[in-house]
Amino acid sequence: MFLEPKFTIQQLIDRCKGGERKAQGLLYKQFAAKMLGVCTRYAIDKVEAEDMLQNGFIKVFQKIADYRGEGSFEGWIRRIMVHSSIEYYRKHHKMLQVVSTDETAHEPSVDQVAIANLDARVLLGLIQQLSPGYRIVFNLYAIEGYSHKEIAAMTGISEGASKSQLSRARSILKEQIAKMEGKSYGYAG
Amino acid sequence: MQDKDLDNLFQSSLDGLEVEPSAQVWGRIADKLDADKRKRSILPLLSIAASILLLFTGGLLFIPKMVKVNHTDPVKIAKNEIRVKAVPIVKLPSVAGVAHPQNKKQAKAVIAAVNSLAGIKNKVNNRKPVYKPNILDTIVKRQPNEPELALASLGTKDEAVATNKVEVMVPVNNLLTRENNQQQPQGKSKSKPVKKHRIRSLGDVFNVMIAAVDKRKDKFIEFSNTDEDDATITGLNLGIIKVKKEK
Repeated sequence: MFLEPKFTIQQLIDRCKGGERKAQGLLYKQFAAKMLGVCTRYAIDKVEAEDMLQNGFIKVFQKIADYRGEGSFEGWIRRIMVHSSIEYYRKHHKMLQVVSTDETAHEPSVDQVAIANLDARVLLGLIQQLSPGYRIVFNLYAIEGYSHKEIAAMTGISEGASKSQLSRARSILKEQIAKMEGKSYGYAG
Repeated sequence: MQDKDLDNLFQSSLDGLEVEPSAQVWGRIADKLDADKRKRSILPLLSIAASILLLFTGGLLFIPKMVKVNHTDPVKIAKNEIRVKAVPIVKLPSVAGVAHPQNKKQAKAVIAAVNSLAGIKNKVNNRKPVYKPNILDTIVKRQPNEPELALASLGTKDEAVATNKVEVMVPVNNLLTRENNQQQPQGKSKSKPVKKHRIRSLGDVFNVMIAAVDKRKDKFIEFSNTDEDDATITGLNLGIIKVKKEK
């Protein structure tokens, strides 16, 4: 994975703390794809996800001196990316509480496949079609593993709102999957 | 499907998701980091520059007040000097010029007393232009006065002399005022060539601009006014520190 295997992550971090551009570039290359995977779950499309990634990495390099080596570095970067994604929605979508109910009106533009064959791309498509509030809460709770209390603190919504948004998100996703299953059965039959 | 199953389905397939970013993303990040760096490096320089500027402007606010007091007096003296010098030059010939005809007039008046009727004709013709009591009458215009004075002297010689005396007094005053009037344009025309300074170079442009703000003799900063394009500094006046390159 290392383009220049002579550097360990710790060495890169140390050099990044000194503001060395080459080391920053190498660290970016090391984590960019993984972190864009994180941002993509919070975004509508790749353009938005790359904006989140960009802001996230700028924050990483600005705050890298604060990283004390407690916990994994990847976990540290990932938390920054998640915060950057939430921040992006605060700026561009204003209110996370805004609930739109038109998700079900759109059918995911993915190939009809059996639930067993649902790959990451299809599931990503389902998440991306949720409204921002649902998407963020579902991501934070189901995939990142945060509690409702933590979600409330991170997003500024109440714990109750977090719970209700999660259950709404789940029911929408279930509906979508059931629809796809039905269609794939139809085609099979 | 249970909630837990749904969460697990998404988590297992999306948690390790990797998406390759487009090539320009790193370029944008690097640009932003450069901009931040520049901002951080420019900020202390800017604050130093700003404080220096503040000190200079502060100094300029204090200095002109002190200099002005010294400066206004020489200007006044200079003006007075010009008047004093100029007045005798213009005055002497003109006063003499007026005085002579009037002396002649007295002689005429004696003759006119004999042929009084002949004088009346002249009077009728000449009166109208005469009695415009314009202080700024020219010498030529005043000449018609003469026949009238001649008539006035019909009574007695003494009277004629008296009126002449009065008349003499008036023209002298008139002349003085006229000379003052003449003086002013003369003074202007004398000082104009000094002020009228052709702008030949970039240095001159700066000098003119600085002169508009800084009225001191030695300007805050002076540039060379040679035809060469590069404007070199020839003088500095920071109040306490004065540097001037001799031409």
